[in-house]
Amino acid sequence: MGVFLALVNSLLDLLFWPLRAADPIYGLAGISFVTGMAMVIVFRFTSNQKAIRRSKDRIQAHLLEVRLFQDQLGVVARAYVAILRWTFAYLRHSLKSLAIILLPTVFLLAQLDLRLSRVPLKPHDSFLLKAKFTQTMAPDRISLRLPKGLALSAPALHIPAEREVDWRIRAEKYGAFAPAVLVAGQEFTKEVVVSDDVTRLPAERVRAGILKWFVHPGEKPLPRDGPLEALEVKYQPRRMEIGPFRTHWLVPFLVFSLLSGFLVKTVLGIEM
Amino acid sequence: MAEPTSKRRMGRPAGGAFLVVSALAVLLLAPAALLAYAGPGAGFAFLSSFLALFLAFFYSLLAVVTWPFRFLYRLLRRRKAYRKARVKRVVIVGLDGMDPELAAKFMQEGKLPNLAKLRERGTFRPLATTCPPISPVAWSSFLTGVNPGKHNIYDFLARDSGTYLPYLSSAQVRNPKRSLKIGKYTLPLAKPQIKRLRKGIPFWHFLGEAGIFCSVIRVPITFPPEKFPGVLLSGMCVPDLQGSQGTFSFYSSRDFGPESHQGGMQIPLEKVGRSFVSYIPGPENPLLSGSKAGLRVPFSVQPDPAGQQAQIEVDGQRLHLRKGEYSEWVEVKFKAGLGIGVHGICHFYLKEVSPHLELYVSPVNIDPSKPALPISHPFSYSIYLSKLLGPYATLGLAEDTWALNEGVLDEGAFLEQCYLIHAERERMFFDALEKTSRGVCVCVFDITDRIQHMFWRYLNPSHPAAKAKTNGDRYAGVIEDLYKRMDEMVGRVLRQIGDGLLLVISDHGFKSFERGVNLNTWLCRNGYLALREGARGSGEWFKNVDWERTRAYALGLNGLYVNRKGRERFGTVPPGTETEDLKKELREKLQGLTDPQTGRLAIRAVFDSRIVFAGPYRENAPDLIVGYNEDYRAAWDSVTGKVTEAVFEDNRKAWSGDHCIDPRLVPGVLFCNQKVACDRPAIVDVAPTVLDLFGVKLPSHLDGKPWAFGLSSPHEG
Repeated sequence: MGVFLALVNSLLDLLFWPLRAADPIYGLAGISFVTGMAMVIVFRFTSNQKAIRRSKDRIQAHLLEVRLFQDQLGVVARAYVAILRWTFAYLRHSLKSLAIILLPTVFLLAQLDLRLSRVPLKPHDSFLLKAKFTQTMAPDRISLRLPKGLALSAPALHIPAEREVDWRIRAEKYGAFAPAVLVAGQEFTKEVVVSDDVTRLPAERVRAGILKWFVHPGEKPLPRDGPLEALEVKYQPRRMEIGPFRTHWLVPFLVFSLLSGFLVKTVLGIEM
Repeated sequence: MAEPTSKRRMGRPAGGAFLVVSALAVLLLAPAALLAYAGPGAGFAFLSSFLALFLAFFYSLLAVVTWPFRFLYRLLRRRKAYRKARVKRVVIVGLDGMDPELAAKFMQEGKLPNLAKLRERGTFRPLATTCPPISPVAWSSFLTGVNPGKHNIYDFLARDSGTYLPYLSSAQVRNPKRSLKIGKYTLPLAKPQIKRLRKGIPFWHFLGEAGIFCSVIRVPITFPPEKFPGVLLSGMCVPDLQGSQGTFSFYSSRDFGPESHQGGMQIPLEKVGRSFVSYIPGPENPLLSGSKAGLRVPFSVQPDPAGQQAQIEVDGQRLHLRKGEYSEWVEVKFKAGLGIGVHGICHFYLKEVSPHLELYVSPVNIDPSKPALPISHPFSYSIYLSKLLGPYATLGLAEDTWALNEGVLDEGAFLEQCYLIHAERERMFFDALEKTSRGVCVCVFDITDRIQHMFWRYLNPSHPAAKAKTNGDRYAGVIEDLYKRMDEMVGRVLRQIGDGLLLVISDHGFKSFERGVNLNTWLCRNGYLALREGARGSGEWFKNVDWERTRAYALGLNGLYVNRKGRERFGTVPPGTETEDLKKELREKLQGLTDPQTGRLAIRAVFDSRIVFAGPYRENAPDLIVGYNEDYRAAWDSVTGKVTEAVFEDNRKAWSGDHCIDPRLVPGVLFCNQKVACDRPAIVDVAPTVLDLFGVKLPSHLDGKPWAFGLSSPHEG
């Protein structure tokens, strides 16, 4: 899994590399268009197109039936039942393809989230590094070691009730840093990025577990039997700017991929 | 981001199940933001289904909210509508061309049990047809209850008195009135102009106004569809996408000779590597004004001679056909430009694979799910039928008789096509029957007409078009089988209609068509029609006719016109006494015209339109209607205004049965599940009869008379 994720991370890094200095909306638009097209094509080849078309046709027919024979209550009632029946049939025929599409889509969304949902730190920015422990730890057993380029701007804050220790740190120069949290002789690092580019920003490093790793693919997970549950850097959330609108990146992704999907669907005559 | 809440361990279910379970798990356990969206596939699927559910819900809500008001309104209206009705439901099954003599014969032999049951418990009579006994004329009288002088249909064709050229008698389709010219394109700003030439008001309009629901399926001469409170799918005279009444395409890899096919086009297949390429011809480009170049849909065929099959790629679809096999309906889109396209459907039929590849493509029908022209009322009714039952033939004359006539299809392929189309029609009819629990349900089935036209020769081995004995044996029972199948369908209708009234009718009967009469040749030889100096024949559509020396001409199946001064452009015969004298002279000479080869009477009667028709459109009728004798009919060339060598000729075409003769020889049938008390029922009586059954006041202009039934008291609505 680790090798696979590293490979995907590198691939996406490569993809975003030419766009690193540009407005992230361009990269997002490109990926959304390609994703939309790819998903529709995958849907085409993994679904029973005839059955989907039949289901859609029947739904439309019974909707028209309601309109055409509106004075005949028996016909209308039967049409409603048929609409429901064919809607379920339609969903059933779509399910296999949706399942196939769902896994890579969720995976891709996690990757995009890693790059687009947060803004990297700038020099002189302060941020919080949060360490969440599996159990309450004595303060003297926890320490922080900062690399050059990062400096502590306030003493550590212990919150025993939350099993949490927070450090306020200031970035002093550009670069990727790995501050280390030392717990009873063990060392756990967390990646911190100070940059102007659109880049991978793993906000949270969590304990090992396929699903958690799947949705936090930016860094190697923390050891399962270690004292730490999570290490988190608080980056600022990013809002995409499209004209006068500022929105979460998922919204343009949804719009662009639906548009391209619709385009491909229409051109290739794919039933969805 | 939300933390996962479940730590359940999963096994490893195999295959698709594992995939589905994994996907669902990811969907359920993934961060909340990701739940918002799961790819365009999911997006489309869920949006579509939600849209359907939303629309259904919206309709339901609207229906529920307005239901009490509508119910009250309907109750009052229906109570009034059905108060005087003597029946709850009338079902009319039209079997175009069913012959009473054949029906009686087969019933006698015990082959038609359901129709025999109707005869025993109800009624079986010959049903008087119209003069002339041609389907568009007879069905127009059926639906309007008037004689042709009031509905203006005298044949499939009418003639333009300015040019002597024919045009379709029932409808005209023209370009939209308003358009916008941009460069080479002409954008239509309005719908095409479709002019209905049939006059008179169908009986379902009167019923609809009275609050009685009607479903009307494929009754001839209902194109363009008229608005009324019911549903209607147009029948005979709906054009194909080329605007014709059916133009097939025939493709071959061999060199075509000089012969051409009537009713179809010969298009060569061009060899490209191991494949052949060609195109389906479509309509003229509606966006290019003045351009006669038609739109085309290209296709390629890859034959597999060893497997006697071929693979066809057309419009993004791939078809695999074995020799002698039809494709399902294939949807094709003729792209006009600017994103505008015209949608059609057609069948492919692989006729031969080796030594030459031969392919038949049916006329391109208007796609009922995306109709280029309105073919139903409401407009969405054809779409509804298509979505519910699948694509279906929309062309008026859907069964391709010309393809069999021209030898492009053989008998077996033609029969298969007929029954494919009939099966579609049956499904529509039974759906309409189910939806019309009260009111009137009418459906006309054309298969009876088409098969009798093409297979009558097998009833008579001495017919000039009868084929070798092997074929004769194989197809001798086709018409009997056809009647049996219709009987079986009538049986199903009887089981479904309960206490409703059933009428099974036909517009005319059938007789053999063995000898053709070239009326224009006769007129020419007898000095009524003159050709230009030096011309030996006229060519089609009176090409070499010298109109200034012509006094009479024949056009269409039964019509004979006087070249009247003031009416025809080059008229020579003054109206009044001279015209009447000429008509009298022609009647006297033609009545009793004998075939010198057989010694038989070819023309039994010639009817004067001033006597047989009455009404405001009588002036448009042919001046004389020729009533041919049994076994005779207008020759093929005479119908198209041609002067040929001989007056009489053998009919060697597969089209071997006909009915365009003396109407007294070809009555239709009337079957009813009630006793009809009428001595001489006629097709023109059906409309007034149905109105009378529902207690609707008969309009005074109707020519038909309602029949009396042995029915009980008025049905309570």
